[in-house]
Amino acid sequence: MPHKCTKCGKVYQENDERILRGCECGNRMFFYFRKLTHEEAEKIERDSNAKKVKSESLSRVINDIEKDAIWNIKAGDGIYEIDLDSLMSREPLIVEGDEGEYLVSLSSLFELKKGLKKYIDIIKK
Amino acid sequence: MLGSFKNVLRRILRVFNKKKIIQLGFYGPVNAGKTTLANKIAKDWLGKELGNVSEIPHETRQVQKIENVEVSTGSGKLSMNIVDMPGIATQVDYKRFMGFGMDDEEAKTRAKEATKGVIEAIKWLDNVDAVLVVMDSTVDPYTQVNVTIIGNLEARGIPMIIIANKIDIKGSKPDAIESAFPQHLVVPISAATGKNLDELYKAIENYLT
Repeated sequence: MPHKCTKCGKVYQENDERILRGCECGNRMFFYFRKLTHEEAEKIERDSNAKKVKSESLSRVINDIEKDAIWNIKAGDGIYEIDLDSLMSREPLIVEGDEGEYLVSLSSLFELKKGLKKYIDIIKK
Repeated sequence: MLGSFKNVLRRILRVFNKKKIIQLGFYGPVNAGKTTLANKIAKDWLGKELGNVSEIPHETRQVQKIENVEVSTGSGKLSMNIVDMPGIATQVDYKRFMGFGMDDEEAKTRAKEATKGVIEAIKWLDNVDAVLVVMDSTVDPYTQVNVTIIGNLEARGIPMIIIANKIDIKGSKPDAIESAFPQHLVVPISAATGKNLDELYKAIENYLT
């Protein structure tokens, strides 16, 4: 799983040696991504005192996605788990693909999620 | 919110304009007979079919529309645009298709298309005036898909009729669908044989126009 620095918010891929050596900013604490409830995400942010990333960076997008837990579809090698209720409730269209690929529909964000509308259309990492 | 407002506005305008053509969406789980029903109506009244029908799940993976279908109901004429939607599902697994002779790649492509189809179908909810929820009366109606569709249509204020399809098949239980969703009109039909379609047309005229 990708790891994110608790201090500067930089994201490192699973096998990145920086996870062992410490972040570029000098911090040695990371948290890794998984689907979080809103409460869990808020608690982690409080505990780690993580700074909000101001830029429209990938880490911010992923962080917001994780925090809001607005997955609609999870894909894994030809198998798709669809959260019908969130789709039908007009939640923004967020897809987690194979190997940590995230797809975000800009149009759905524009229509449905004002706070996220500035983010890019398709995000791959 | 915006889509919901547009839906309400469209319906209000329709009432005042006495608009007779309704945009009728066919929704439901996979293999419930949506395309069979759409084809039957289109063939009976237009002489042409809409899409392919197959026992393989997710045969319809794109929204299919046929416009200006005019149906005589006895008391008048019913004009509608039929929008046949891909089947709604909570999981699409390519392995399910491989039992129908598809290779790995074909099955995965179909799974991806089917998933896109689910999204498209749901997006189209903002563009329909009314919905026929087509269910297979030979299987248990208490499913997540059925309950989610009905619940969300109710939340959006979209008028609907539930179709208990496949009553020509031995063991079908349209009563089970009526018991599961007592707050809605349930019309038992057979899209394959055309049984009770007249009742369906009357119901559309009375409840959805």
